[in-house]
Amino acid sequence: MKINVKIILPIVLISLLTPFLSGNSDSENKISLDEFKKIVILENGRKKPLDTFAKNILKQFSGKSKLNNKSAIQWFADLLFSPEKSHEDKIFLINNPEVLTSMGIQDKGGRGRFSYHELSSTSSKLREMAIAASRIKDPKRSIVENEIIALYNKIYIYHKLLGTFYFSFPSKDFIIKNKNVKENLSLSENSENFTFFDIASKADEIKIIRSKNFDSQTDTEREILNLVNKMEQWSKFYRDQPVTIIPNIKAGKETWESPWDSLIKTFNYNKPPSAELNIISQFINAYRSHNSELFNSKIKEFRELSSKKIPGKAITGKIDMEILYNRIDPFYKSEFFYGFSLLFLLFSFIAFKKIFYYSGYILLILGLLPHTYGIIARMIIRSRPPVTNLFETFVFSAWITVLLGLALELFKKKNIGILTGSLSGLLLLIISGRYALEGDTMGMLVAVLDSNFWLATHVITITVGYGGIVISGVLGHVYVFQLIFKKGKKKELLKDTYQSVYATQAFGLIFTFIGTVLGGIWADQSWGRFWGWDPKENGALLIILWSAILFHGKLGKIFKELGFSLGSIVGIITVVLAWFGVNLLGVGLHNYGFSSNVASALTIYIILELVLITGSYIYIKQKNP
Amino acid sequence: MFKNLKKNNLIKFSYSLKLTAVCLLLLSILTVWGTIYQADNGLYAAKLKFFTSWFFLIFGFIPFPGAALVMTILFLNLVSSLLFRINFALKNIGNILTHLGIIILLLGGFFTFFFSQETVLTLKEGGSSSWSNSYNNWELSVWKDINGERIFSDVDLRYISPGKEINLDQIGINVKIENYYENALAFRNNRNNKREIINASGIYSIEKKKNELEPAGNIPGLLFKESKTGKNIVLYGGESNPTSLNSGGSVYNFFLRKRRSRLPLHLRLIDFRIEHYPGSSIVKSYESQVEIEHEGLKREVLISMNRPLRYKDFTFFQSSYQIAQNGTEYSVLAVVKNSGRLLPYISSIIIFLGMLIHFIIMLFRKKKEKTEK
Repeated sequence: MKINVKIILPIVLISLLTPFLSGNSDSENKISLDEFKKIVILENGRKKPLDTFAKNILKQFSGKSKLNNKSAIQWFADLLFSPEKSHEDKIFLINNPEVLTSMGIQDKGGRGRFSYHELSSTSSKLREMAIAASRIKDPKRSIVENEIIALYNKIYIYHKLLGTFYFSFPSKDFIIKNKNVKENLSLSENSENFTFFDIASKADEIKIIRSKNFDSQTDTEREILNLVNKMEQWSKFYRDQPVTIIPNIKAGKETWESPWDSLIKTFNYNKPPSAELNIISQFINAYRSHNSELFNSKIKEFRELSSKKIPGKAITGKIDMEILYNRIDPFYKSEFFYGFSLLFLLFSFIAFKKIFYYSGYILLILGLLPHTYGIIARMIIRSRPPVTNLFETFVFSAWITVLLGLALELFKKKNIGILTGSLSGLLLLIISGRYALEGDTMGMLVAVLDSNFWLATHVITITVGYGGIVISGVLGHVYVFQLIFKKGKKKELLKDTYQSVYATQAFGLIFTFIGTVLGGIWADQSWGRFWGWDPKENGALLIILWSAILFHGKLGKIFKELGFSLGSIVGIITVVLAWFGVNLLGVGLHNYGFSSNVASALTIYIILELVLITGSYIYIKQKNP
Repeated sequence: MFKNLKKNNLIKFSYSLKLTAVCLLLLSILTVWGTIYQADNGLYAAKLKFFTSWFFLIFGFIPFPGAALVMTILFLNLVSSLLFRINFALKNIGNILTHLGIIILLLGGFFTFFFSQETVLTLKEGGSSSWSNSYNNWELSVWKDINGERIFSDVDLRYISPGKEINLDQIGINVKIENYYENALAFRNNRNNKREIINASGIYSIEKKKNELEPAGNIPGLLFKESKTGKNIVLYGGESNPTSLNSGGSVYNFFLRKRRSRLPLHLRLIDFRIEHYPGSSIVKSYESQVEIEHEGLKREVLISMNRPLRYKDFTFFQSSYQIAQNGTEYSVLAVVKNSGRLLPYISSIIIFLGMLIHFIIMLFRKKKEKTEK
């Protein structure tokens, strides 16, 4: 019976958490966007679903991947199909209240998100300031000046996106009252409000009028040419839209166009819009007239048409997979599980020891599931090894630390495995989340990195190594805390913890060393030098040197277990320097937003650790001279 | 004798673990310091000051060991430890192998440092060459034509200084260096100088300029006097034409260029190809189709990222590319001559094996201890 309680109570406890996990649905939304989010868009060389594109844009604007009341794709659909709704969405994140006051907006107290509506009244002022700020050379710009430029760019992109489907929106520029004009262009007689697209569709009629010389034109034809003039102005304005969803293959070269660019091209050549554009126009109208069924069937038609044109292997499977990955949001779920795992474990120190301990244990394993799924899904979607960019190094090393933590727990059963695993897994995932804000986390690789073999060997081993060193350092903390706070018999306990510190440090050193050597070989293969003393290489070297100092110093009796454990904490600092070192050095060059925040956070972190190390050393030495 | 040596205090010091720890610590400090130094002073200066130096001075008078010195001591410490300290028992074999591998790795580093040569070869599509150029070093090239044959004589600019006389006896001319700047500015107009100065591009004077962070960006200026005619010639690295001078009945040509070195083969760039990811400016790959010729034997080779061309001690890497405004493509190949390039490979295999064996032995020992308990 005891066993049952051990299992049942934690399960009950964990199931209490599930309501927090389910994502918010777009409750009031009547039109299903299931087909819409699958539309393939080419951005920065990668074909991805609109779902991801919308998420990335929203993240860039607001620092969040969904709004309080709607998902990213719902927000994006509002922006494209019914802009008046999205103007009220508070999406523009402003970190610095000074930016607001400089725009003449009342500061509502610190950091916050603002709607387009709130900002648009002062957009000309913002533009002026952004232009002035961009004249200052980057290293000399202040944080506020950089944020002004960033905000201006965001609003610029917002404007660009806003017009994506305007060709199918009725406009006052295209109100036609003259019956003759409608007749000449064979437009519907019952309406006065027309769209760019309506008129562009009448390419044959316009072609005849355009070819006539001025003297032979009738008044009606001149009125039509007036419309055409307006359209040419529109064409200039809406060129180079970012929503490139129409594939175009010519002479083996793949280019993707936005609907506008495709439309402008055919219009300039006096040709009627393509079949795809006709379907696009139809689904725009369907959305705007709230016809969900027609909207979805038209989009399906559009996707089938364009997928035939995409060269190479069919990508539909990968697109579906990416949408699922977006919906599951695996790393967020893992963060949630690891967080509670840590919390329950801490509770277990206070009361209900067993129940909380097993809850924490199970939650750590539960967290590993979405974590593993996320890594594998990304590998399949990208056809890449798990680590190719900074974001993924954190995700992967978080995974490694959780695995190491679980392994420790299996062998030792002293709850330090769960503690270190959940703590480092959580922290590393939180850091990765900050990097995810910088845009698409699945970006294409530049030529020099385009080698799955080296990415799979060098990058993975070194990331595993970093994970080992981090875990060892976390255990080093545990050792020090146990030495200070634990009362009574603790010799056995300390010996046990020290062994874990030592073993994980050795694990970390081996992998970091092999990873670094493999990196040297990669460098030798691709540009002819094994070692070049550049910051990234130096970072890895520093970790190895420091770890080697720990082992040789211990062996040479320069210090004992306590020294080794305190040294392993410094090991985390070396990893942190190697990881962010390049960014830290770049401060001044890339002195905006995240980087400067990271720099100050890191400095604070390093100072805290150093204080902890010296403080606890002095305390322990005074107590046990 | 061996045992006696082991007790010698100097030998004892040479294999002590304390020495190892101190060396590793110094190397850590140099690594951090040198990396931070790079941010303001560039990679080249940092390498010169911290990593390839034997020692350097802090505040101009406190000496601090450079990485070259520390690594040499570490190397000796390792060798001495292997000779005198490490217990050659079977259980230690992994450990011994690992450290042996590190010795070879350091050896490879020294080898590369002293003997490797890195140059660059920029080829226009359709163009060919059997010479590569130094990244940083310049030379004064002097030539004349005798009976339709061109004779060269080159002077390495690293070894000249104002006042130095240079005898180019092979082609029968002597020059005296008046002024030389590693990085210079060139001026055309003359206001206060009445001397006659010869230059093909109309340059009249040169001035010293602060050296660039990366020495590849330096453009030298040189002013010298030809002994027979007594005429002054000024040369600037950025010129496109040589300056000629008639002396003793022959026409001499003078030109400053990046120092050249002979390649073991003749390369012709047939085609340079570059591919972008669709709809973006991110480069997916680039590669050079080249024809190599050695003693009349011609064959075609493809050089691409991560797939260099290896020929004897030489390796040709696809390093970068240039596209001129008129669309002409240039391929930039890095040329490395390193006879010790296999050492890192050998050492990493040994180190890897060593670590693996050590790990396995430790695993068995742990198990054994457990069962004994």
